[in-house]
Amino acid sequence: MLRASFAVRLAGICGMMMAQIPVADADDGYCSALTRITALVNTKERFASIIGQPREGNFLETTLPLPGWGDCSFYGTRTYTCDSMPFATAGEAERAFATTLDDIKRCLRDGWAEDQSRASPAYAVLHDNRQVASITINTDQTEKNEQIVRLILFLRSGR
Amino acid sequence: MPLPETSWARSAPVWPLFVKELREITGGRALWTLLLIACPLVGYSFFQAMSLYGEASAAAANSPVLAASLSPLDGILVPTFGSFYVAVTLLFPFVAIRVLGEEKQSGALRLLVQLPYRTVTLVGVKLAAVFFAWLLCAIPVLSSILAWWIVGGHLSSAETLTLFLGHLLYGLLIGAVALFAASLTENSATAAIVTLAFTIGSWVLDFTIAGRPGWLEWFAHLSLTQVIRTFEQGLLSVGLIAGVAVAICGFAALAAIWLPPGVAIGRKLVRSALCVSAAAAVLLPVSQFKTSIDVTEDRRNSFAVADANQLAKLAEPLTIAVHLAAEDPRYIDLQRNVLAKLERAMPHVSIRVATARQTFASSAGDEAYGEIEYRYGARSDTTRSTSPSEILPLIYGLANVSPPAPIPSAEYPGYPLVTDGAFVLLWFLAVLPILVVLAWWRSRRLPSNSRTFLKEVIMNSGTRALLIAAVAVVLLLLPAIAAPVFKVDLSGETAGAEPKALVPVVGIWRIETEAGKPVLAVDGRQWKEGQSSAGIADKARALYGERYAEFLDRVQAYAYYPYVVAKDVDDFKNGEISVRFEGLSGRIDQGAGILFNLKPNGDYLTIRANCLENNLVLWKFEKGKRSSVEWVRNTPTSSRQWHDLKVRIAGNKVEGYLDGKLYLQHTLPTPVSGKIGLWSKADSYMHFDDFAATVSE
Repeated sequence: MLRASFAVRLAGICGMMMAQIPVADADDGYCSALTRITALVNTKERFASIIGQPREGNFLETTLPLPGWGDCSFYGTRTYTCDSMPFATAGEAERAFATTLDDIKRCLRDGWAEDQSRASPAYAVLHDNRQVASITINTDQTEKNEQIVRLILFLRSGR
Repeated sequence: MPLPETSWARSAPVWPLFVKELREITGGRALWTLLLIACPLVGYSFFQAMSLYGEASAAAANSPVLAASLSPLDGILVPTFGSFYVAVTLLFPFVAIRVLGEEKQSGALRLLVQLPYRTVTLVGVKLAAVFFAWLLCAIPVLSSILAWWIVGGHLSSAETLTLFLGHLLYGLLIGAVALFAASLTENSATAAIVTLAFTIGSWVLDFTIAGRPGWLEWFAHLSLTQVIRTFEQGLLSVGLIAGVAVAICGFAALAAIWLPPGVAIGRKLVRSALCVSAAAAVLLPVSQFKTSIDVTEDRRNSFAVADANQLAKLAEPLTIAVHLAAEDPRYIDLQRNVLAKLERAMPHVSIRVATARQTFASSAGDEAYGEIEYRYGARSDTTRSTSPSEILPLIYGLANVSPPAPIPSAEYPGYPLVTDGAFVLLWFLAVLPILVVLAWWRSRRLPSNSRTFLKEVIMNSGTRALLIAAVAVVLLLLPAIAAPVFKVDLSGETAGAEPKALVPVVGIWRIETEAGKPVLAVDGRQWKEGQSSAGIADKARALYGERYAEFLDRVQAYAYYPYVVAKDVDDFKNGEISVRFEGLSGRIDQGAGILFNLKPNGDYLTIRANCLENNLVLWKFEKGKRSSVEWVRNTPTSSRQWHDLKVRIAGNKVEGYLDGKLYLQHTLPTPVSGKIGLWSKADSYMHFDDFAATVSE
C-alpha cells in the first residue's frame, strides 16, 4: 500500500516537472532550425536538401531535426513532422500544445499567421503568407499510450 | 357391447383418430379466432419492440458499452413472445377444450370410448392434436422471428429455440389442463371456466405474490407463468423440462381417468389419487435436478469461464445466510448476479434467507439487516456487498484458493439495429389476418373422408394455403425490404485477407480482428503514397466493366488517398451511408471518411472525420486534385475510441453526422450519383465496422 502510494506521488511529481518543460524553448532551441526549414518552402528544391534515408512505409529520415523534439522525419517529400517528448497526461499535453503554438508564432513572426477558422481544440493551423505551406500543431496519444504534441509542416500546392 | 374399461386391452390404428381430432380443431371457430386476435396482438408488440430497440440502438451508436447491452433476446423475442403468452393464456384453453368438450356435449364421447382404443390412446391423440393447434397458433410469432431476421436482426438459434421450447411446454401444459377440465365437467363452458380459473389464477398469482417472503414465495412458484421465466432468461433447465413434462403427462392421465362415462366416481377418485401420488413421486426427485445450460450468448447466467471452472472445484458445501427481505432490491440484485450463478457453478450450495418472515419495511433497526454470511467448511465471513467482484474473492479466501487468472474470451458485442418496422404492421394487421380468414373459409369446405381430409390438411387445405401465401408474401416483401439496405457483413471474412464485399482501390485494406470480432482495417503505416492496391486492373474492370480504363488511368495517376469501393452499390443517389470507425494510429493523419459520388472517371466526394484534427470536412476530388468544400471544426473525435460517421444525401443536399450529431450541411451544384465506399489518408491506421447504406426514394 505504502509502495503504491509512493509510486503514485512520484508519477505525479514527474508529470508536473514534464509539464513545466513541454518541448524545448523555441527561442533558444529549435527556432533557428524551424526558420531554416520553413525557408526551404520558398526554394526550388523544397526540402530535398534535408531529406535522408527511407524509413518504414512512406516515411523518410531528415538531416535537420528540430532540437528538443523527437522522431523528426518526412512523410513523402512534402511533409515534415516532429513529435514532442512524451507527457504523463492529456492535460499536460494540451498545456504544452498552447505553449508550443505561442512559441512557434513568436519564432516565425510575420511570415506566418494562424488560421482561426480551421482551429479545433488541441489543433491549430498556420499558413505562410504566400499560401505555399502550412503548419499544423496537434496533440496525440501514441501507440505506447504516451501523450505528445506534434508539429507537421507541409507543402500545400501541387495536389 | 363391451364396457369401456374392457376396451383398454384392444388397439386400432390411431391415424384416423388423429385426423378426426384435427378436423375437430380446424372446424371450430376457436382456433381461427385465436389466430385473428394473435395477429395484431403479436404484431403490435413486435412493432413496439422493434421501435424501442431501434431507439436504444441509435443511442448506443456512441457507446460500445451501451451497444453491448443490446440483446435481441431481451429486446425483441421476449416481448413478442410475451404477447403470444397472453393470447395462449386467455384463448388457447377454448381451442384445447374443443377436442373433448364438443364430443361430451353431443354424446359422441359415449360412442368414441366404445371404439377399439385405449382411453390413454384417445387422450394421447387429443393431446397431439392440441400440439398441432398450438403450432398453428404460433404462426404470428414465428413470422415475427422471420421478419426480424429479414431486416438484418441478429438471432441466436440457441436462445430462440430455448424460448420457443418454453412457450411450447407452457402451451401443452395449458392444453393438458384444458383436457382434464373438459373430461371433468359436463359441458365446454364449465370446462372453460375451470381452465381459465387455473390459467388466469396462476397469472394473477405470479404478479401479486411473487417476491413476497415466506410461504407466499413458495406458493408463487406453483404459477404456470413461472415455467416460462427460466426459458426467458436463456436457461435450459433439465429439472424444469422434466417437471413440466411430468405435469403434462399427469394432467393427461387425469383426463384419461375422468374421460370414460359410466365409471363410478369413487373409483375415479381413487385412481386420481394414485395418479397424483405417482406424479408427485416423480416430481420430487425431478425437482432436485439442478443441471441447467446457459444458452445465452452473453453468458448472463454464468460467471466468467475462469471463475466458473475454479468454483466447480470447490467440493465442500457453501452455506449462505442472507439477511435481506425478499422484496429488497439488494436481494433481487444478489439473487440474479451472485446466488443463481453460484448455484449453477458450485456442486453444493445452500442458501438460507435469514429474514424470510421480515419485510423491507419492518427491517429498520435491525443492525444485521443487509449482511450476507458465507460459510465454507469451518470458515466464514460476512459482507454487505451484492457484487460478484467482491463476493468471489471472499469465497476464494474462505476456500483458501487463489483467484483464477482470467481466460481471454470474446466480449459480447451487442447487436444494435435501427430499422423501420412499419412494414410489419402491414403484415400483422392486414396480410396475415386475410390469410387466416382465407384458411378458415377453406377449412370449412373440407371433405369428410378422413384420408382425404388429412391430404387436404397437408396438401390442399387452408393450412397449406396459409403457409404458401405466407412464404409468397415474405418473398414479395423481401426485395422491397432488403433492396434498399446495403450492409457489409464481415462475419464470414478471413483475417488478413482483403474484404470480399468491398474493392480496395488505393491503399492497404484487410480484415483484422478486434475483441474477437472481424473489422475492416486500413493500414497506412506500410503504404507508400501513389501505390494503388494489388490487382487494380481487374478490380477496375469488376467495378466499371468496359469503362474501366478511364477509371484506372485516374486512379494510378492520383493514388494518394486510400479508398475501397462497395461492389454492390452501383448508383447511390438518395439515402444514408453510415460506418463506425476507430483511429488506432497515424502521425500524419487518422482519417476516416465515407466516399460517395464516385464517377467512372475517378472523381468523388468524401466526408471525413479526423482523430488528430477534431474536424469534419467535405472534400471534393476532381481530376486528381483535392479541395475542401465544407469545413466544420470542433468535432470531438478521440483516438482509440469507436465513433459513428453518417452521410445523409437527398439530391444535391449533403449532411454529415458524427456520433449522431449533425455537424455539416452543404448543397452541391449537382445531385449526387455514383458508387460509394470508405476513404482514408496517408499513414492512418484505422478500423471500420458496420458499413451500411439505406436507399430512400
